[in-house]
Amino acid sequence: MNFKKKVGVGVLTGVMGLSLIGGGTYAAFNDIETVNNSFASGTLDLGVVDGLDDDGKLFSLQNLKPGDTMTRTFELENLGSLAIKEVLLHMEAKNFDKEELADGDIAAMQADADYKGFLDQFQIEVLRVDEDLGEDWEDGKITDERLFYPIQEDDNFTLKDLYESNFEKIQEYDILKDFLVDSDWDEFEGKKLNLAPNRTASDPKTGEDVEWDGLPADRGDTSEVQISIKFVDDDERNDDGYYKQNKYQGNSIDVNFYLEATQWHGIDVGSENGYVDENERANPEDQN
Amino acid sequence: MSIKKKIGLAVITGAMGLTLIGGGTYAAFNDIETVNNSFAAGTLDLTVEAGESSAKGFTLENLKPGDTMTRSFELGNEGSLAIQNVLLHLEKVSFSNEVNDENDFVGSNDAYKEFLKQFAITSFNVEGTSLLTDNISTLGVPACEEGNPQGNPHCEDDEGDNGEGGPGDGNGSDPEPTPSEVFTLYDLYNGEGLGQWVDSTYVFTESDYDGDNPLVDNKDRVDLSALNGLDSQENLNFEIGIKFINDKENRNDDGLYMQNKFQNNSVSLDFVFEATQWPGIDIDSNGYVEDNGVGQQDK
Repeated sequence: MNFKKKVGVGVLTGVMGLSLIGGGTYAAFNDIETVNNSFASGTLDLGVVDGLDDDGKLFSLQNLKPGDTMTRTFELENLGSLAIKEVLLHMEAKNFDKEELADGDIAAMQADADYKGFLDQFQIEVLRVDEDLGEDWEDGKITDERLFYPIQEDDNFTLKDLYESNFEKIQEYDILKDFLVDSDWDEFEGKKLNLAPNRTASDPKTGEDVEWDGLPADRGDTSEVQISIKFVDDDERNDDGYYKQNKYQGNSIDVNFYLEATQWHGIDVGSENGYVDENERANPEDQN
Repeated sequence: MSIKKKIGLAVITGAMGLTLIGGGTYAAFNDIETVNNSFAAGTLDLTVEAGESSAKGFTLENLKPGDTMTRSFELGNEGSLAIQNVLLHLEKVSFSNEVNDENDFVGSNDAYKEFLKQFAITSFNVEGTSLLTDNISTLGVPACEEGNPQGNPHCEDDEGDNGEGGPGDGNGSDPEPTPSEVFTLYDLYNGEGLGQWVDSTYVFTESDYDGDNPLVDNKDRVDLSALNGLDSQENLNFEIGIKFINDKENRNDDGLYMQNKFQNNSVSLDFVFEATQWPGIDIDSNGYVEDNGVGQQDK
């Protein structure tokens, strides 16, 4: 090794020694970049307002007799930040009970009563859903409103039919079909009636195709639902001359309507960041 | 020796004698040469920019199950040194759980983990190549291919789902994957068993290299530049697609979907990209070390 090379090595060694002293440890080069992300979910919250009593019940009636009718109106409101696609009516019947009757003959008839038979005594004469149509999205004003009657008096549709999802008997079933939804709630089989329709359907009154868009969020308007129930009046008698309906004397049952609000399908939220406004509205991609 | 040379020597000797006398001290021969050296370190500088037609990162509110989102990133090397690894991991910044009446989720220290499990990673591409293993397809999130019999929730929008079965038959026949079956943001955050979802070529295990790294606590990370590194002035496109899993299978006793507990949840998390240098090389010649600006796969 000649002198020049020796000098060179000496200097290198010196520099390395200095780095070691300066750094204290061996330090490699690296660089770290950070991108922040945030994901926040919205809320799906159906409110049932106007029409419920202090106990939160729609119907709470005792001492009824055949021929009685009862009508209730309630409003569906979207209280969340996500649009509601459907409001599915699930019906539960429980706590069927029979009061002991003093009259022996009627008590004997009563033994034959069952809860389905009792439910069949209550005809849903009218189920009316109102839908806001033709809203001006920009200022949120309603420019048109239409009423839809999925169930009408001459359908003879009873609480038993609703309980069993027996919608085929409804005369205008073809129209109604657009408002029936398969529920994936295992406890409730069959199709469920959607009280906040969201499909293109033929309006039964005018025959025109109309758009229904569920319950968008933050619109400040509500959808009204009206239901009229009649304790049917059956004049059939048994061999002893008793009206057959006598067996339902002293019967009682709790009927729960579960209104399930569902979300719209997921969407591609696009490339922009921020609050996903699109999730406040009906998802058009899902409208067939 | 000629007379001329003899005279010459005599003159030189005489002159030296004069010098010695003149200086008054002893002076040896010497010679001084200076060798100048300079060492200039290069720069290692990773940049992360939003990809074309994409915001930088995800900042999304008012999400609902089923929503899908994609972001792309341009990873650039603005430094003079080539980058060997671009290592990605997630760090949680914050989590909030605003309670409302549909939300019975009791917040716990681990609550954000459950929320992160709701976000399936449906695509994970570098330069258009998927880093996900084929494993994913058997775990419920197959690639978006035509005629895929399993169906892919990620692709369902393209296929016009809900096409048959009548209105409202929304969820179709394909069951949604449940969080335990898919690669989620939590798995990326957690860094355990990444090889189950990410091609092992791209899995960077800290303990195989330098040992302890306080940055990631020895979690596995994804090496986005595992193939060729990222040369100086080069770019690499990274794209990640995420789906808010739509779990319609699980309800509680009241019929409410279990996922309702995630309503109004909000999580903030960082994608952290660490760029590392290549190993040192042996440099023979002087000058700007061009070799340090390019990958050194062979070294």
